[in-house]
Amino acid sequence: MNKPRALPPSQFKQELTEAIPHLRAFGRSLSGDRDVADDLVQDTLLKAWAARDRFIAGTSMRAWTFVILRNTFFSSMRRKKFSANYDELVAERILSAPAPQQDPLHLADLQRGLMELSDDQREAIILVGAGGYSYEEAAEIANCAVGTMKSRVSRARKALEVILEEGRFTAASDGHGNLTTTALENIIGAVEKIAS
Amino acid sequence: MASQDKNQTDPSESNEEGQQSKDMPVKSKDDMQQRLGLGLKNMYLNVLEEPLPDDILALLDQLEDDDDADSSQPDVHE
Repeated sequence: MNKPRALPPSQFKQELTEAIPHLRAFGRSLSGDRDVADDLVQDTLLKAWAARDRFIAGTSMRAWTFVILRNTFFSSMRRKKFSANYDELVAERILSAPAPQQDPLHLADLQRGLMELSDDQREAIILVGAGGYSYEEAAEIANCAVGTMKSRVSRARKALEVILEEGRFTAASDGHGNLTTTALENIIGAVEKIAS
Repeated sequence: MASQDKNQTDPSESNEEGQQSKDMPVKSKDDMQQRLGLGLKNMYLNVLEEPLPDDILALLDQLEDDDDADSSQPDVHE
């Protein structure tokens, strides 16, 4: 069997550079924060460069680096290096031209709505709904079955609709959700320990 | 885990389609989904159109330079 062909460094760099805007868009949508997203992209580039021998020429650089970025994000979330947030700088940007009787859809609302979703659902709707990936490609990036991806996207769409219709935002979307939950969990855990 | 906690309170988990369709006319649901789809795509495209930050491009140049420097080191066995 032929050994997979690696790209020459200059070509690898070229393809990696072309993937950067997409990495930033994916990272920003996942984290809800411009600076966090750019930190994520830098981590991703470092890891991709270090692992460039494992990239197979002719396959999708974007998909390969998306896997690195999402793994970095979720493992860092677990270690609390990054926390999902939303970017207040974009609070007034209007995303879609509404019909005359409709309120405009603001980027800040959409970003905050995304932060209300579970990590799995947020990733799914970003990949398919925003990034334009097929269910099959998105499932490969997220390392799940195609049916699971379809289900996550469907649930995310419904949940996001309800959140935006009702303006149902919680602390999860202002960057304090994780900290609050952890603190609360710690207190409850301590109380349960004392009670037992 | 935060993800699981959020799943437990996810409205889509407990509020099934039947309930939503009773409360919301089909047309307005379609409109909202269209706006959502357009909003998500525009959110993504907005970032694609931004110029790349200098520090990210500098990082790539640095990685390539480091690579070149490594490969130009004389072979001690020669």
